[in-house]
Amino acid sequence: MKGYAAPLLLAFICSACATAEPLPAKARYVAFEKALTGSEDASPFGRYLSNRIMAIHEKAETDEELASLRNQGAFPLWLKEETTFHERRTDNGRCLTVSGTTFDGEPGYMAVRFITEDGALRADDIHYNYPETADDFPSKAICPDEITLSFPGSDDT
Amino acid sequence: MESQTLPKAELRLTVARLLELSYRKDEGITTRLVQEVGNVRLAVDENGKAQLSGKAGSVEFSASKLASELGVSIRRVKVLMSVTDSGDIRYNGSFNLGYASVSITGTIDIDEFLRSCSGLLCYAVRLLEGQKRERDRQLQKALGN
Repeated sequence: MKGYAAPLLLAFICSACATAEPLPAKARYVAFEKALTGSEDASPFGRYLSNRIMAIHEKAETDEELASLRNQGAFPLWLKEETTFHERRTDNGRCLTVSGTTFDGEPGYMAVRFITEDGALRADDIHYNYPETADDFPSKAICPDEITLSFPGSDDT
Repeated sequence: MESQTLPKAELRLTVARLLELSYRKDEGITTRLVQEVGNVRLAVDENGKAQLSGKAGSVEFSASKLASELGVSIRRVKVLMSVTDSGDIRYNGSFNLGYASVSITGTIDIDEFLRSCSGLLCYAVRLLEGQKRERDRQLQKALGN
């Protein structure tokens, strides 16, 4: 019996490897967070934000305006604690949703759309959300444009 | 680098300030809008032109100075509110900051709001001030004092 255990275990592990879903958007999120909090790169935004967003940064006329734009794009710093995340494939990239406790101590989640540019995933749309409670955190990956505004208690928009 | 995106307290304050601006422009219609059960829509465009509208009527006012007064960058605002029979306003709001956006869900006690500055506005200001005091306290702690 013991002789069958190793092959069976190996078969199970390989099966898990073959079916495990890679999480490239979450990996980019983590890498961006490290770049923002580390001291190696003073401005990592160009590697993690899309060309469209960087073009908006480049149009900033003052340091204050540029700082405001960078704050919008520094999405990995918005949550001080993460509880859950979900991601899914889209036509040209991935959508990532991360939930947890925000920098100001509130329950919050963000939805980020990553697109593939120059062979890398880069954020092209970002939406931050403050629900009333953590019970309203999404249970699956959502893209920023899928977050629609409605009257409370109805589907009327 | 730390996140300096709009905190929730400032977003709530912005909703309250917008209602206050509408109230200053037309007290009668604003009061009816926030007291009659039903849906009310609040919108601010990129030029700061704001409108509060619902079954009871519509109020147009300028909110162009609001962003600079708050020291934040807000391009467009859309708030969808429902006045409940218990006298509360529940709302879902979305703030366009430029290329990113932030949304919020909240509740306003309308009786408190209508009690002039003793209402929600001052509550929101106190909330904000309390948060700043907490940040100052944390900074002082970090600086060894």
